[in-house]
Amino acid sequence: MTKQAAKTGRKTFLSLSASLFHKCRRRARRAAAFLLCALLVLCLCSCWSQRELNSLAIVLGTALDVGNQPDTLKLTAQVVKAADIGSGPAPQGGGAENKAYVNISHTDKSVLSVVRGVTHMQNRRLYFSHNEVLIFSSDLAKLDMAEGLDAFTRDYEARMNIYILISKGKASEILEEDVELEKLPALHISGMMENQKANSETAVVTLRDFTIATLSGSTAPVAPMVELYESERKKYAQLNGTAVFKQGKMIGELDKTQTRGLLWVTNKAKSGVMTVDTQWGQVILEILHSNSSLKPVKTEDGTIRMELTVNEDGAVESNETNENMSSLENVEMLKERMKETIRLEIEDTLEQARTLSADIFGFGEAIRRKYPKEWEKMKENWDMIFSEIELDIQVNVELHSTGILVKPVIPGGAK
Amino acid sequence: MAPVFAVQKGKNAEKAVLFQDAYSTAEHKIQLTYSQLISVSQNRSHIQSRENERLAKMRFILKLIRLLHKQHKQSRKTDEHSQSNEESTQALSQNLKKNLDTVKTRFGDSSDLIIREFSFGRDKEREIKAALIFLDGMINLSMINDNIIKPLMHGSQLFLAEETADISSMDEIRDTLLAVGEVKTVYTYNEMIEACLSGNAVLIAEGFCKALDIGAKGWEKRAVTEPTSETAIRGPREGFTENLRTNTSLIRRKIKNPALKIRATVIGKRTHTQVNILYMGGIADPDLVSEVERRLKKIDTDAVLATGYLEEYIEDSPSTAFPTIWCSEKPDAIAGKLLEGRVAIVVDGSPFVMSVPMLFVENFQTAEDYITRSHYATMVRILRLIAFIISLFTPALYIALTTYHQELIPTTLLFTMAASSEGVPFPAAVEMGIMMLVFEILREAGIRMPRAVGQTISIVGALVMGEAAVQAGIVGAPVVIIIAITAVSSFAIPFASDAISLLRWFLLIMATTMGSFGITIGAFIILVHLTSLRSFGAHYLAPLAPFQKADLKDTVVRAPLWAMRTRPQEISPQDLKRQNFKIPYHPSAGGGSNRSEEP
Repeated sequence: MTKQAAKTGRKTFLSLSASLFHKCRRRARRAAAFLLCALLVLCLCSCWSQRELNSLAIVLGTALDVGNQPDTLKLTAQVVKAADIGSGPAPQGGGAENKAYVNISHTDKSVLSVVRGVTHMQNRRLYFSHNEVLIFSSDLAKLDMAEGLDAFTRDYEARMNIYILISKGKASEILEEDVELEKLPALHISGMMENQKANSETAVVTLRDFTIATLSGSTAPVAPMVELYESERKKYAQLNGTAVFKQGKMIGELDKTQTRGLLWVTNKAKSGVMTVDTQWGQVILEILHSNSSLKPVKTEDGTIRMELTVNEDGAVESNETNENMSSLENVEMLKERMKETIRLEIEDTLEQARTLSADIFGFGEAIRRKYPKEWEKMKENWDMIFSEIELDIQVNVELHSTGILVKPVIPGGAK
Repeated sequence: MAPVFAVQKGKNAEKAVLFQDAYSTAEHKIQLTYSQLISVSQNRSHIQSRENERLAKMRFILKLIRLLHKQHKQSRKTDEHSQSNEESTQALSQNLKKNLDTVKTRFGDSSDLIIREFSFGRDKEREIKAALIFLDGMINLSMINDNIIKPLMHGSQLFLAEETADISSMDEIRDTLLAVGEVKTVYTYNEMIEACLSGNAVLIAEGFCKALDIGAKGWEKRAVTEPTSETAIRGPREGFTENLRTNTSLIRRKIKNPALKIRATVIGKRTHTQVNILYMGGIADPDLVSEVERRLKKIDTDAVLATGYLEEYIEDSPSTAFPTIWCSEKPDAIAGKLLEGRVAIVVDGSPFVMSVPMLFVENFQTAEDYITRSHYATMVRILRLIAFIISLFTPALYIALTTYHQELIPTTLLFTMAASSEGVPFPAAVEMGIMMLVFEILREAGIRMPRAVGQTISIVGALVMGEAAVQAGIVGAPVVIIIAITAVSSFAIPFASDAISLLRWFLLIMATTMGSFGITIGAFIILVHLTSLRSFGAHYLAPLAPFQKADLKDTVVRAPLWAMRTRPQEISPQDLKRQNFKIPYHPSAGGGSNRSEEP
């Protein structure tokens, strides 16, 4: 009896599984087909654009020079050696072995062909997303900047917020400066640019700003200049002055005070230190806050003049005289001197801009925005109009404090 | 009892008749279709008809096979039914020896079956031979000795001291001699055996065709201890045990109300496991209760050994990775669920009690939330949510960032990551896969190993994972950090951690193939899946989707208890209102009038 039961049991099981299979087959087939399709879709893209971290040459700074053959340019890319930067102390001395970076240079006809050309020499692809500075040599800047600008603006990998600098000597040498606190020259330079708010003596310009100015036509783009100086047989980069461009070419320079004059007009001078001469000696004032507004005004006879208002709040930073600068008449005197200094700085810059016949302040843009019809007429001979345009400068200065000292620190104390 | 069986028998007979009817009609149909087919095929052209005929024949044969198979199944079912019915209806005989023999054969001489034969009565001639049947280890021996055998052997002497007294029926023994609370008269072998199996003693006697099912349960059981899976800091510490009655009593002691209803069923053809359904009358939706009962009734399995066995049979969507049935070891947690209108299912032999329906937010709630201050509970819930997101997405996000979107990583962090990936032989995704695998293995090993060995595992694992692998350059340090964060976060979530560890792999594959785009797609798929999930009819994502404003008070935030005026809507309780809104004691609100009246 048990045998029979087992037999029937097995039979039932078989037929049962058969019917189950029959029922499930269509659904299973459908599910399998769907899964296969989904898998194929995944395979189609197959890790498209995937790149491993250790196959990238992370570029942090780029320098563009004139190539040694005619009509070529030399691109130097500063690539981080990740393995060396991760651990250990900063490289001591000039030992090339210890450097956390390697500068890869190549010369070719265009930026892109250089970037691709580097693949002949390196096992990793140059990766520009983390590029922070773009340095043009002044030689190249005087010849033509368009190629480099276009390539870095057009490419999706490079960012628009990288800093643009113009080197006085060779751009590639700037990227070889000796760094002390940072491990990479490029990071040193980009950090320096971020630090410039403290002095308002450098025009901080990103690729985006530069491109916008270039595209405007009337405004002359500017870019900070960087140079090398030697000290104890080491070379360091420092920022000095501003380069002025016109028609895509560098045409002149502004020095530090002229640069601040420019920044007063463009409402970018936010902090910094000014030295004021008094009859007793120098007093150093700090710029606490500042804002300026530039607007074109139509005069009764139909000509347009520019009105600039600068409001500045300052404080006494250091007093080199023996006088008590907190007395009311002295405060008034300092304010007047301060006004005068700012006015002089701006006028000096305007003078230089007129010599270069370059509208670095963006007067043209301001007029175009407010008086578009008039601008249409002025556009053609803007260079001439710019050299004659009137600039009314109104400076308001407030002196807020004399620091935490009232009287100067002198032997025996002030009277 | 007898009329019930009669009715059952009657039903069977009806079934049989119906079955015969169905059989004959089916046969008729087949014949009809076959003849039709032949006639149709004859009308067609020669070749086609041949083809058709062949096809028709094949189809017919298939149909026949299927029909026969169906019949076979049905007949087997009815066979089983009738057989078991026959046995269950088999009444006890008056012959003690025959009864005992039947019981012995049914148990197959199991060594734990104890048959204590004894006799009692006034004298040798009029003594009654009797036997007490029980399973060793299932009964309370002192109760058997003191309350059953003692009264029968000694007590009967006292009882029969009066000349007129006589023991003439089983009922008389039950009513006058046995000093036991729970006694039932049974008539069949099946009932008798069931009584033995559930831990009762059965008394049979020569000359009576009845037996007494005497409640003398008493087996070894674990004491009520603190649950290990859910620890409480301020809450009650007692936890469920493996004993069903203990568990229901623990809940009863929390809710002292006759409205707490307990319904019993038996599931498991071979294990005959006791299953109780608990709900609050007047709060729980009657439809929900009947749905739970219906689903439990439909289970046709031979063994139910723990709650997990039932869970898979009664889920709304068995293929999901997310838990749709909540369970807990803590009576206070289950009592809370019952009072919200949920239904609890207690299974004998499992210290976990299930509660349905379950909502997604319950994954992030613990019983402790309602005991700690609401601000803190809210913060902890937000933390758990963050941990959920971290443990689900971090490995995938890491892979997407390092292999597709390097521009999104802060420059200095990129250096560190790049530095650690130098010299690592595998692609980042493979690296991550290896580490995830190692982690899962370590976790599994840690759970299964005895506690003493478990420590070794964790030390070796931590050393191998944390130090050696990185130093040897097999994996990068960031990967280890990511895995560690993921692991720690996944333990911070009270419930759905196994679903997360599965979905993590899914998202990792998506991120490896398609970057952040893949993660977006993966997250979307998971979200769509979650919105489509149901637990006993309740939307899994409620009260977020469908949006129920009133129930947000107990979702990510845990509102103060006095502000929880209503019960969760999605559970559809009969009585939505939990309490009147009343701001707790405040001097100006007059809530403390009692206190001020005190002298």
